[in-house]
Amino acid sequence: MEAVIIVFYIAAVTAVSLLPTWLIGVWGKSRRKRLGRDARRLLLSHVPVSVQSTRDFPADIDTTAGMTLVEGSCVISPDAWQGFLAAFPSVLGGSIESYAEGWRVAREVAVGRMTAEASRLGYNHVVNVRIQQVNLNHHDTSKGKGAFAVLVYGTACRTRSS
Amino acid sequence: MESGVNPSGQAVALNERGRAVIIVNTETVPGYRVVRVFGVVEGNTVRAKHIGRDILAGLKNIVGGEISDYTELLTDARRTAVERMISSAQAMGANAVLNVRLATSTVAGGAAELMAYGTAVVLEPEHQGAGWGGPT
Repeated sequence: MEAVIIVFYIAAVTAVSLLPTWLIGVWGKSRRKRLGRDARRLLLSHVPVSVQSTRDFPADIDTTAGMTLVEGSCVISPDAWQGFLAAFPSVLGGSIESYAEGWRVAREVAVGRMTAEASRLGYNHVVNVRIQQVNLNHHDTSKGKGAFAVLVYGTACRTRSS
Repeated sequence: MESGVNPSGQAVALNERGRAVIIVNTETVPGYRVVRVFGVVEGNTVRAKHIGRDILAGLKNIVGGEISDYTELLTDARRTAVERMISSAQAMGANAVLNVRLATSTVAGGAAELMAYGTAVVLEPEHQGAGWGGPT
């Protein structure tokens, strides 16, 4: 009988202490969704820019239009609930889907910013795109903890077809 | 399209960002050939936000989402690093930097180092009337 009470007590305490974290997680998820939606809206707000990671210029490139380096970046941080979920695969192995989602959104945003800049300058093609991901975490201090940055850059040019 | 004008209609004698140098991360520039190679040029900068911003970013770490202060920091740092790379290329007499790479590292919490490097070269239009009237 006592054992049942103790187990019940432990379960109740765990549930209550995790509740705020879970609520933050729900809020964080909706914020990430909004960020993704904003990224897609950004992509739709300008003339489509084709993006390729190969270094070859398109065959119908307009050499009179010039070319330049364009960049976009996004720094994103996982929320407390994601951190909690990540603790399980860290011990047992497996993929940490909660983190993967954040990275994906950050990349979408960064690419969107890069193509928006290319489009603003009048280009419709970005070649040789490089995606770089940096962990802003530092082992000595807690400053910048958990934040990761996505940096996207490429060469903007223009094709004759459009 | 007139030669010497970029798609936005700005003159490119100074190019679209007020740079007199072509900056690309590809190895070639169509319509141009490399006539002289100066070697690697680089520019770097280390940036940090003040402590208040760091504390706010720490709170963001609990609720998640984009940390726009750090995004801004990264954007500024990148711009500065590229500008420094360009000025050292110009000091050599180059009119283009090819194969530009950006490298980032965290030197301390909340501070980011950004380094831009590439190969400074002199480009020349392949034939008369080719190119975009770009670097002079």
